[in-house]
Amino acid sequence: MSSYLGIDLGTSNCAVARAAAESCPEILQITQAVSANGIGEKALLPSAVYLPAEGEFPEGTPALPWAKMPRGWVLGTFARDRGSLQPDRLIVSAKSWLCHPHVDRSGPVLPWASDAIAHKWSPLEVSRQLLEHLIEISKSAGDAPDAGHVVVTVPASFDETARGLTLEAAQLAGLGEVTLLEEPQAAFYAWLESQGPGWRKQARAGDLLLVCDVGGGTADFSLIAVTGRDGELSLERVAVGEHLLLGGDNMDLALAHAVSEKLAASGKPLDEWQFLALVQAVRSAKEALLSDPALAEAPLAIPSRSSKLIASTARTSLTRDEVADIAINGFFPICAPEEMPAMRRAGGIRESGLPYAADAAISKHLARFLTRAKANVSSSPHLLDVIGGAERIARSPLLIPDAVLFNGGVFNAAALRRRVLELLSQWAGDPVRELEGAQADHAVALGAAIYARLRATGNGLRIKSGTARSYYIGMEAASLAVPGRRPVTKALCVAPQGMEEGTSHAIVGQVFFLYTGEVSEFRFFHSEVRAGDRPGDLLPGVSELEESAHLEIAIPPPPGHEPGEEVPVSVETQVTELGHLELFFVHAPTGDRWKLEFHIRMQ
Amino acid sequence: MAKKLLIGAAGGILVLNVGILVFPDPNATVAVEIFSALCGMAFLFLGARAEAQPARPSEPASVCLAPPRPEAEIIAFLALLQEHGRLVDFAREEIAGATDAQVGAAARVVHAGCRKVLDEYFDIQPVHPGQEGDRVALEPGYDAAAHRLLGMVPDRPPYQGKLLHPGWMSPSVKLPRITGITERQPWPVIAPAEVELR
Repeated sequence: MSSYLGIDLGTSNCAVARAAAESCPEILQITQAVSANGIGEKALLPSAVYLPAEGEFPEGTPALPWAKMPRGWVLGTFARDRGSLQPDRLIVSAKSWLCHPHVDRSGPVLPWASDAIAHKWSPLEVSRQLLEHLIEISKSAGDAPDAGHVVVTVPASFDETARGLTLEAAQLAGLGEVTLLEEPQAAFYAWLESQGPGWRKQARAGDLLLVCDVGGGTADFSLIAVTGRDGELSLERVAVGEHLLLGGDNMDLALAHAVSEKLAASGKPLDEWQFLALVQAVRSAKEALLSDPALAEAPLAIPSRSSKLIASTARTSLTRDEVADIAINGFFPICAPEEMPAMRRAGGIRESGLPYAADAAISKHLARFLTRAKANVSSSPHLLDVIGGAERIARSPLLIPDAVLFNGGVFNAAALRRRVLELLSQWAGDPVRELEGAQADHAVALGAAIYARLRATGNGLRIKSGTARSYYIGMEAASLAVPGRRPVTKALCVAPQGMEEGTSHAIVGQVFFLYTGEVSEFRFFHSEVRAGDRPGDLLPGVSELEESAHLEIAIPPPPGHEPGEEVPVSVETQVTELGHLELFFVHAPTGDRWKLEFHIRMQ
Repeated sequence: MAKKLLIGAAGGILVLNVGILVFPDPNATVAVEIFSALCGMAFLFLGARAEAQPARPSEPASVCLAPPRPEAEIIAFLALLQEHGRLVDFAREEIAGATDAQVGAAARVVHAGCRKVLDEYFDIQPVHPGQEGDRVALEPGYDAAAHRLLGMVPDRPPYQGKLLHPGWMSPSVKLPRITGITERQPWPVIAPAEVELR
């Protein structure tokens, strides 16, 4: 009996779900090191790797059942716990590094800014080890996964380079060619399955649904439209957001800093380890306050690491006002639809590292997403049709959804869900409702397993999506050479947004001249807001586009040509059956095709 | 075996050398001296090789060991309660001079941590459903191991009484499996000493 595997390779936690042919998908318990000398099972695998010092584990790190040789490193719960005490030796959030534009993502860079480690890891290596671990779990829980039946999730905001690296990690882990699925879509599939046929009562034709996923460290938004034709409902994804490094962890840190300042002001400053304990304590206190409206304050007891627990535990409390001020109004303020988040100042010297969001107000990021979504939909007649016509656009500067599906640990708190709905309702002028029945934990892994089954069997409703962005190659405009002025770069659209699996486009009318035998480089751009661009469209400039990678190619001379000659080629793009974007140069006379490789743009 | 051969060979050379002392014969003397020298060099060579060869390493702690001793399991569980709930720190500390507020704050830490451990590794439920103070009827054949009777207890059931404590039981236990047990360390430490490095 075939089984389908869904892997949620998360920034803070990974999970894996398995769906058998007819039954509900289930989350697999993940065997991992839970303490210095204990192996246990948990539903989540923290995406943390701890690199011990020499002699720290004389008997070896806790041995997993499948490891034939003792390993010099640990991953999972124990790695996260031990690493919180030794942050220099801990690698976390490797996934966010996969889409960092200025870092060699296959090179040894993690732990970032740490001098303690001689042999660092690459973000690619971390992803690979996590996948290998999850594959072993699925093997011990049943049959080894067949590559065609495995789906790995990625954020919708991952560009092609980051997706390519995730695929490479899956290849290295021994999974072969897997299918990638966007996380907000996975959460939606899990909701669809949990509702069964009853989902049509909650979402009707003409509705626009927002998937609002705010986890521990990241926030991801997507818009899905429900269209109806002859009584048949279908779903199409119309907009994706940017990669936001902002989440529940920021909230806990903000609250912890506020409490720590309160304690310091009253003459009881906390040391580094007490602050760590405070962040944990504040998390539970915040959850208690947000779930029980009658509670006015939650007591906080902050132990130190000494054995004198009674003598050295600091006492304070987290008040409802503090939670309201910081968690609710600080992160989800009621703002006007035109308020955009403060962007990072361009040109300031900034410590290199992950590009954390400069503005903590998630509401403003949501406003920005909905504004860009409106721009995206407006640019494409097809998408305008899908959302029900231009009248919807004209109402407001934003594209307001009709219902929201919440995902992520942050939205376990009903107060925060109500706040987001209140905000959206204010912008819309009409009440915006919540899609009931969302399972905040594990929805992404479950949805991935459901999608794997759906692809293989064809049973079930699929969200029409295709590529999340439109892609462009940079071309230098032919113009007279003027000293001191760089020629303008134009952008040729090679892949439209929404390009579906198994389709390809040949760009006619634009010919590139390549020198054979030499490496040629091309700038590569993408955009989330230009759904209307068709392949072959030439944009006059690149200022509105995002540059992500560059393309490299070295062509051997075709028969009848000498090396060093210029050869005319045209571009062909293809999206494989698994949803991977590939670009080729085609030499028309001989029909030769060469594949372009994506390379990270290093500065 | 090698030792016996060595002793036998050394003994033989000694006898030969004594022999040429007792019966000096120029040819025999030269022969025995050369033979002794060759044997000496051979012994030196073999001795050096034996030292260069590392002693066969003792069996490393392999992945599949004998099941850990019961003490190891208990200590590991206590270590869990100490790690997450600081239970041993709390119980070992002197409480007489502390105020209720201080003890209360420490108790919150212990409560939060120990509850987390109990919830995670056990499935603790009451033995007897119902509120404390409810009337309880125990029929003949009741589970005597799971009930404790107080007060005036007749010879045999049925009994009528009042529930003072619902009891606790757990149908399942799923503790982490212990690793790293060796001859040298048959059970783990309850809590490691902590040293801060700057």
